[in-house]
Amino acid sequence: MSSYQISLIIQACISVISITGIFALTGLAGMFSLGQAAYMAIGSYTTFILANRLGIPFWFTAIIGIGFSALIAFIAALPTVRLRKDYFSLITIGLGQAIIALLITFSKVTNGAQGFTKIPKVKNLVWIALVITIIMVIIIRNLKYSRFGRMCIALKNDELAAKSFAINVYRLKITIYILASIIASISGILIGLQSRVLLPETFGWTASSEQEIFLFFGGTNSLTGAVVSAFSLKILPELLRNVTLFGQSMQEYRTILYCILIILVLNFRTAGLFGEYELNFNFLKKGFHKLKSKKSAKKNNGREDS
Amino acid sequence: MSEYILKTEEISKNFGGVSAVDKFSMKISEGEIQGIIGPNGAGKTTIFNLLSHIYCPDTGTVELNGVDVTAKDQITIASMGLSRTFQNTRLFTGLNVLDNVKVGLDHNGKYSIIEAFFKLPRVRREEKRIEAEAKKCLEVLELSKYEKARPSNLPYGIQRRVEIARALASNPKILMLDEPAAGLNPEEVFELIDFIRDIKKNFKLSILIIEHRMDLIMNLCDYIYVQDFGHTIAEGTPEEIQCNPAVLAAYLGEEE
Amino acid sequence: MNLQLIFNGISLGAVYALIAVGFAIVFSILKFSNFAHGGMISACTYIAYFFQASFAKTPPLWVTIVVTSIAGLFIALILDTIGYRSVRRKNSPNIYYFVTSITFAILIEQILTVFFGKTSYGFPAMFEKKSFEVLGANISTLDFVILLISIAILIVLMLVIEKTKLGLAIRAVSIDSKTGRLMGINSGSVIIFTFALAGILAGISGTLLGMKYSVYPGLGGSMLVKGVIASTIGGLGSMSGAIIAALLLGVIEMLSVYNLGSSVTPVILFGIMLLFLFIRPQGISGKYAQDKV
Repeated sequence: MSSYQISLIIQACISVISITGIFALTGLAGMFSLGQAAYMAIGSYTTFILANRLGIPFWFTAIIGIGFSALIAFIAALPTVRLRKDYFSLITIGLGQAIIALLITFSKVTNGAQGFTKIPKVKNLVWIALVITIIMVIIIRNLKYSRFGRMCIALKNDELAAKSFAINVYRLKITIYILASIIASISGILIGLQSRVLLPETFGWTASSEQEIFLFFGGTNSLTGAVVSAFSLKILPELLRNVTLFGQSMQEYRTILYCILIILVLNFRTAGLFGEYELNFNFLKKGFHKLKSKKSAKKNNGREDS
Repeated sequence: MSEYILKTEEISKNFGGVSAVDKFSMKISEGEIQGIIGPNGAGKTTIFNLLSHIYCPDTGTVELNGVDVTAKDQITIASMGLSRTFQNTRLFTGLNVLDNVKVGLDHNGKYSIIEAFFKLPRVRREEKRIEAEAKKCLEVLELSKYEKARPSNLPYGIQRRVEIARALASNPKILMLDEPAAGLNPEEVFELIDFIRDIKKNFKLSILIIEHRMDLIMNLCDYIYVQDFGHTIAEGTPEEIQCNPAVLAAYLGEEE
Repeated sequence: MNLQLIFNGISLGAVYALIAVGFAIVFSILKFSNFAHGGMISACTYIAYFFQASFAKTPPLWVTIVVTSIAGLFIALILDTIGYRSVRRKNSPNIYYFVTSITFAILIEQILTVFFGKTSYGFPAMFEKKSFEVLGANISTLDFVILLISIAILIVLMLVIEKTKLGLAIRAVSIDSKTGRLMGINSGSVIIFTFALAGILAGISGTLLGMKYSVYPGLGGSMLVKGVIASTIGGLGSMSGAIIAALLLGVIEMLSVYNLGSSVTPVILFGIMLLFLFIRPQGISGKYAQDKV
């Protein structure tokens, strides 16, 4: 496998990891945020700047980076979860812009628009990324089928009715928001490790909106759809790298392509490509049980005979 | 400890100068079924909204289990054992019937979110328990065959029953039903009366019903409040209400 | 000095008012934040520029404005047809309007970026006399003209809303679209008309902004932010609130830039919006859409 292909897989993994967070935030809890990239930025910049300044391996500072992200998320969420959905989204946009502005203002520390490059190289990053991806998908899947998943969907469908069943909607929203920020910061750190440079523009609102677009394309109610969507839409532009249109590589049209796809989906299959469908491995379990019952039936027959 | 599950003292609610509810008082004990009747616009649903604290009463007090809850919020009241259905069914469209009912139990679930991430043994145990309880509630209302269905695909009458099952699942001390018979044909209403009787037999709770349908109210309730334009024009047992001239004049005299 | 600042602020505020009203009008009917408004403004700015640049002798201002109004109208109708219509038909939850509008905003900005690059264009000079003096303050002709045009448009708009049957229909639908339908108001066409109106406003704003600033893809977006802040402070959905708030915003922005610098100002403006959201969410006008039980 070429290093180009490996880097592609890592990027796809990062995309899938981010989307699990977005799935929990928007798909389960109905919070539409266009500022998640801010937490990617907070996580990665904090981690690598500290690692560089303090001389500690980034594995340790990553914990601080993720923790700091969660803290900011908590502070941001506290006052905003009680607001109307529109206001909440507006504020997430503002937050995203504010973080980018801060990153540029403090260029002394972050090296501003030129990019922060003091990031170590990690061998076998692709395996780390794959493992984290699988863990995240499992975690969010378990979340969806737990009581928290149900309560989130309830509050998304009808907040008033959810409250009448003693669901503390505010606490739940804050929790999910913090969870999403943690996941975002992890993917931010991976972005840093993969590209070896941190640029403020990577974490702008285009990045945030890209993730929401992926989610709506795959289906806000289907984790499977979200994962497939995040994976394929991320890779798609890379595959079209060599195709040109009006003299510019298709890459430039990437975002336009995403937008068009989303508009098509919203028009023709509003619930998303995968709708409500969730991949489940029940058929494997059933097959396994059948095998077991056949075996024990044979055993019993044997005993009866003797 | 007060003997009353729910007691209100002269609660009122004004909306921009219009008095929706004026000095409503009631008290209900454990195991009782009480009803609130009155023509449209009499303020019945507003009373429910006051009791479940979707609105805050302008005046008066509300006591749940002897505790003053007048100033408490909707979520707290719900966690103290007050459960309700809505006039326009508010089922969760993103969940199937069984999950909808499970939601009634979820806030009391005994595992944390971190445990949920990794599906630890405690999670499996709790989920089994929640599922068993939810299924029991569905059984009482003969909804077991609709477990996997989505609410939006179900007939209206079935949806209303699912709402009751969901409210039941939260193991309430007082179950408030807002026009449970609305939109049901006479046969379904008879079934509903039987279901409510079953609920009272199988679960330890009090029931408060808002209704238009006289057959339901007269058949089920131990005590009735008659509302008109926000005032209580009469209260008493079904026999007393049937003979009350004010009630007959204002309400029963009209053709349904 | 101060008079000049205040005047500039009012002029700026007047443009913000046009944007804020375009935003508020859609919100009052459909209860969602129409981010595509920024995209429409950007697109119209480019249209205005190319229209002006394609004639040897720069056409009069009013012609450009008419052209961009029509362009804005068309763009709005196109967006409605390919996006919002299906949300209406399928009765999808409100968030789909929001997602569609965000997608359009991104789409338009990206198309402009890809085809016209990141370089900004500048409008040819409009007026011979760049500025004139009033009461000791130096007033730029451009700002003055912008102010006049904005005020004129706003007055016309208010008259339409308050005095015409159509305006009445809009107000009725914004309060309760179901009752409106029962009363014979075709809410579908009212909605389309509202989008069209917003499109016209976007077109006019586009021209004025392009003249005042330079032409770049993100222009609409950054101006929309100001419009949104004004709309929020004024009370989402209230047109008069949006206008008052926008004027105030313009003045505050001018004063802040002069006294505190242009980098801190966005933070201050955003902070004011946050303040309102937490202390008085219904804004200056007191309009606030709530859940019905």
